[in-house]
Amino acid sequence: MEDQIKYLINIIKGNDFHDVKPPNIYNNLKKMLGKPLVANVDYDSETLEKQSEVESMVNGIYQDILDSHRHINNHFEIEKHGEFVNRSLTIPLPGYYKGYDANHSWMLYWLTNANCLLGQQENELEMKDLIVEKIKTLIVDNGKGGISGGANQLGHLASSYAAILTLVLVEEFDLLKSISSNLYQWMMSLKQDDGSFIMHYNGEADTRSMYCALVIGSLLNLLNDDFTHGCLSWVQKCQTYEGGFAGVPGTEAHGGYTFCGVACFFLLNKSLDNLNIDKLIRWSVARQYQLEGGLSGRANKLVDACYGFWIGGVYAMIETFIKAPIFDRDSLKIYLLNCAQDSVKGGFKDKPNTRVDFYHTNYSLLGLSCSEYNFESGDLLAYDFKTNEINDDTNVSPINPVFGLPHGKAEACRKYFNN
Amino acid sequence: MDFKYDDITPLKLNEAQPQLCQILYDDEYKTTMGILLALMAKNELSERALAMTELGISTLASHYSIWCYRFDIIKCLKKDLYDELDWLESIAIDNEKNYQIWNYRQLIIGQIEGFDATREFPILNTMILEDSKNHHVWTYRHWLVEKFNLFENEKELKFIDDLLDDDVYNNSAWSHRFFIKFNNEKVDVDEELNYVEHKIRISPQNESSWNYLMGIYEKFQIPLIKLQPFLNEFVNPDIIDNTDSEDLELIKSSFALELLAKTYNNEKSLIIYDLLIAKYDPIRENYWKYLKSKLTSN
Ligand SMILES: [Zn+2]
Repeated sequence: MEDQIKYLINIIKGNDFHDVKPPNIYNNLKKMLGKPLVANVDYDSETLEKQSEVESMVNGIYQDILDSHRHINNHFEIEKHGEFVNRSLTIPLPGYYKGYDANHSWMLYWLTNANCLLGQQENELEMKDLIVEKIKTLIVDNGKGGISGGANQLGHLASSYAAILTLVLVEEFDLLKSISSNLYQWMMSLKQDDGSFIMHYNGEADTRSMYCALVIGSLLNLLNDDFTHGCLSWVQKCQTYEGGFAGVPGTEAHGGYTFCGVACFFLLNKSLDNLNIDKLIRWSVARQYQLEGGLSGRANKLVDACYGFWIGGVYAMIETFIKAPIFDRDSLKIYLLNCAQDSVKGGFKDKPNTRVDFYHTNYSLLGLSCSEYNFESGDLLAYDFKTNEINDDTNVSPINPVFGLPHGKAEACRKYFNN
Repeated sequence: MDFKYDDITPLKLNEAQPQLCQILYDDEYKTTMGILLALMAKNELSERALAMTELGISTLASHYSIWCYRFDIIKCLKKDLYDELDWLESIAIDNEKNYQIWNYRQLIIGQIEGFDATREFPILNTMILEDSKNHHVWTYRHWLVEKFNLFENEKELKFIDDLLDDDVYNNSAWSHRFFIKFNNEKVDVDEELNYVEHKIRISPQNESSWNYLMGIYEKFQIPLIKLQPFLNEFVNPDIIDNTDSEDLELIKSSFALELLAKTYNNEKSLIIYDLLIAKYDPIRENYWKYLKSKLTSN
């Protein structure tokens, strides 16, 4: 109460009046900082220590917001993010980026997608030639060897996925068409007897590789019975006793794999009745933390901005199925904008004490979109999304959660390949 | 041994300009990768190529193409596979978050006849003690247990027990325990129930141990109603009738309260969901509302 009065006085003094637009995050922050009435016990461990370090860091940030009585609304530095993304795409990257030398197609996807989510379409078209030129250096033998993560490297399903999404973003469908039957043959060479796909020649098979194969197959209209044979039952086996999905049957439920697993049902156009939905929902909602508002990837692991999408996307898919909101959108948004956003240099990071990178920038923006819209779906599960703004405080484009693309892109690709 | 590569013209890395996300490679990197990619392009399976892959991997362990190439060389030259495993260990310790190492290790072990899986315990234990939730290492451990049928291996069971004694919040250890215990037909379910109940009592607000308990109930289709006496250890059921009583307010576990609602499955559950919204787990307000709506629509 006292805080609220101080805050009102501040407004009357005219300090930040122009900043105040609905919805005011004051009440929400108060709610996040309020401790649930669950007793503490005398127990100490590595997990609890790490968790309490993060909590005190986040608590400090939120408490400062409340105490300052100033930034009582979320701020989104759209221009700075735009500059960060453009800079990262166009200015050559320093030598230590050689760590990404097997991830060139990923870098293009993360940054081009971020660009598009920020609403900088014109920009993309300007860059389209450069994007296509670079991806051509990654296509192995016209697609007979897939698409690689760097020039002269081996084809890799995840690299192919990222490269293809990038081409879909700039609507370069003719190039995709010219390699699609070769890609089909290549992917069939990666298919295993149990229905799964290995990532590359002599590589591993998991829910990621399954998801990547199904995304490519779906976008390029390659999903026939041979291709999808065994996929559903293999993915079903990856749901764990906890309710989320694991990389391979019998291992730990994990946010990234759960996203891939759930999206596979949409890509196969199979209703979520084909998995244990109650358990999935229960595990997924447990990923949101009271104080942080952000999401974690596993039970008793720390909050991380990228799960704003990996888990946020799962929420979106679940909500189209149960037709009810299932998570706390405002709290996720507060985490992303106040703990993960770099409001000085642009871009997003995992946690307040980490550094901005391309990956977390893309998945934070996608997660932000999950918090700013709600989702409905029609008969064709992966392509019939309707998105509605939750309120008029919207910063990024609506998305198609199955593909992690701005809404309309996967849909346009499908239309092209179905004609 | 020093090898000569002067007959090899290094492949050029992509230095085209203008180029999006161009990396400014240093000369050393350009030479190493250039030679490697050139050897790879002509599929040379030789000692000098093997030496080059070692250099390449220690430069960039996430370069998956080099791993594939190395595997082909190792097989072709019939190298000692145990030496290879030892070398891998040194790479693993420096590259905790790497996907390729563990898949490669599986490929190598797949080539060895009569492999003694317990040989893997020291490196696995070192890696897990270093980073107790390392997903790649746990996934590998899972593979090993399954492939070599270690479900009843004493050391394996002891390792998991010790980890959970150290940190009852280690979900990776719980998850591995579930896999080991319940893929073994000889498992004593009551003993496991006692075990997890004991662990819950130590620290009751723990998602991992409750998930394990619920996992057992689901797997063996035990009626949830049997849990009520245990749940009452953490929540006084009177809070449902006296929602304003301050004496009863502080509960020991929101998971117990949630489960109590499931065991009732009636109007009392609705009151519990309201309590979770108001006092015990407000961040999941929408979820509790969803469960309420499911209950009232049935
Ligand atoms: Zn992350």
